[in-house]
Amino acid sequence: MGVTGQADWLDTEALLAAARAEGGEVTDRQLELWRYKRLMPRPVRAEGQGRWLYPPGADRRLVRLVALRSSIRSLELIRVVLWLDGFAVEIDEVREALATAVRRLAEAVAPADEESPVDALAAALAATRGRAPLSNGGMNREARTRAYALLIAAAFGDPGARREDEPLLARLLGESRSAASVIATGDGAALPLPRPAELPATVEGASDAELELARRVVRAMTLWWPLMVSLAGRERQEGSGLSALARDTFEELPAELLPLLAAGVLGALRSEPEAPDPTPVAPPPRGEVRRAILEAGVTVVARHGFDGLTYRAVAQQAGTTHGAVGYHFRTREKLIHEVALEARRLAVAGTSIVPDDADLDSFAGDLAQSAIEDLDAHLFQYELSLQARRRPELAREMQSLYEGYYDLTRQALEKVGLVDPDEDLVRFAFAAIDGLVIRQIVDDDPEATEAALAELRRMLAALGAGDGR
Amino acid sequence: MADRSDKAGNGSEAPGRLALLDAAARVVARKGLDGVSYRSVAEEAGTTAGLVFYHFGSRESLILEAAARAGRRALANALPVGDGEDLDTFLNDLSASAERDLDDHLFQYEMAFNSRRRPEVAERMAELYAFYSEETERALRSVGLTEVTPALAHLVFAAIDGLVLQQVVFDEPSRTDGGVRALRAALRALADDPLL
Repeated sequence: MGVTGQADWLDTEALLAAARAEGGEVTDRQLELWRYKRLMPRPVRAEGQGRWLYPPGADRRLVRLVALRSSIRSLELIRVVLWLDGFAVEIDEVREALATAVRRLAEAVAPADEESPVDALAAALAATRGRAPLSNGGMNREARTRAYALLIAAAFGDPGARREDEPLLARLLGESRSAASVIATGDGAALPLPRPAELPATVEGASDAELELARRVVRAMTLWWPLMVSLAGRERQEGSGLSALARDTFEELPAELLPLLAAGVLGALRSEPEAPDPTPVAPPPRGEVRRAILEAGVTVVARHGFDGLTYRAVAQQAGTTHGAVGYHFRTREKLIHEVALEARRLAVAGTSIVPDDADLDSFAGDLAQSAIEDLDAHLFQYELSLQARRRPELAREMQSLYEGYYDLTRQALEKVGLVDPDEDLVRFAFAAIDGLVIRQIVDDDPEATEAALAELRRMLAALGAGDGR
Repeated sequence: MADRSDKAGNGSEAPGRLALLDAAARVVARKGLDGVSYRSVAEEAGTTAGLVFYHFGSRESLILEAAARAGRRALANALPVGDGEDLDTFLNDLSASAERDLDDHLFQYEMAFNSRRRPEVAERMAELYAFYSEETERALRSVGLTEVTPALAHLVFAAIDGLVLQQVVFDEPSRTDGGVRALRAALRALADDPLL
């Protein structure tokens, strides 16, 4: 039927020829490097031949890559642009690139030793980037600095601008009067954007689905913005202000700023407009918030899968704020790690895998009960086990999780009288327990689970456990 | 729904139901359950989304049927097929089949772990697991065990399921073999124990 026929696949030569046809000379070595950097897909070897074949579409990607390479130096930036273009890119690397870009900005806006960091950045902007195109606005540097400071504050969700600032902003923004109005009259509560210090964690905590959403928004903005500018420019005379700047420099400006734009969009997507007012209502003791967040993480993953594990979802489930989650767990990785430990703690606490006494009947007692009562904790771990195949950082969590379970199983076997059980027996016993929990999750038939468990205990007795010793 | 499947088998040029089910299984393996759509399955099978819809009517029933097919296939490869087998070779091929049918197994686990989110999925998965238990019971008899209760089959399949999951996650076939050896030893001890 030719379901995945290799007809559309391209060998190296065809690929390089495609680039050449578009005016880009690519060497084998360069292709190799891009492949190594995961900017190009991995080829497969053609059946029965020595040729390497690239998946369909690799030619378009290479042509785009050549074009980007001529104007952008950073490979990470190129990766982000490829991602925005809709090419398949390792999403974790995009998340990292966005976080790095935004961390630099956050550090610039909020250096620890600066009295007024926003003012400092605004002054720098007013002194450099704004000069040529904005000089028409007839603003002195002081006014420009003040206007930039308002812009920056607005981007970080600070309703610093007041209505009387509107004329000032309108002059800076040129024709974008409506934007000036939004900034000057905007209510910070309508879209509480993350503060500079929170933004990196916001980006790192973004789920794959949220990143995809941000990608589409940024894509739409980059496509629509020039059109908007053109439409506006046609109606008005040679403008001053940012729209003129945008028209003139859009082609070279965005690439380096795209990660920031994407991060800003992510911040907006993940903000909580409905969040309670900022008046502190006797915050619960620190330890309790942390525990609540961890338990919420287990529940969120169990119900919505790993992609659902966002700071926002966890905050909502825990009844706390986005900021609190970011405060307790600076990175998504850290959150996952701690939540995994919590899931295991819950699951192990619920199941007395290791019996209190040498009584064989209590071996893995309460198993069915635990599978019912700690369902979320079990589901979390199974979700983790499947995800671990795709994500190396989760594989480590999974490894240590299972090592812990093997240990417990070994202790349990010893407790019921099987001295020094070998690894095979430990494997089998834990696999049986694991499989019974899975079945209990699917069937929800605790009696059947208990009956099967009794068979396991009978086997262990036949092997010498319990009264036999 | 029945007339739809009948038409599919009529030897037309378009891919039949089974080819679409296999295409769906491949999509799940690559993109997970969320990746399954009429369009993605049609692309994988080299046909149109309309045809996929025609055969299955809903995304849900497509996934459920594909899961059942993948599960039966994986199980058939893991359990002994007929006579001439005994307890010494019982599940000898488990680690090899776990490796070969990795995608089918992953599909099963995805469905099992997702079953709590959707009652109709849970129902179908429970049926599938009941089938696995029956097949395991039959296999246990075929290797010469006489006292085979449903509870024992339930347990043995759970052990198989757990061992395969560990292999799927950690990719250590030799440990699966070790677990299988311990399972055989336990079954033998059970069969030999006069008191039990």
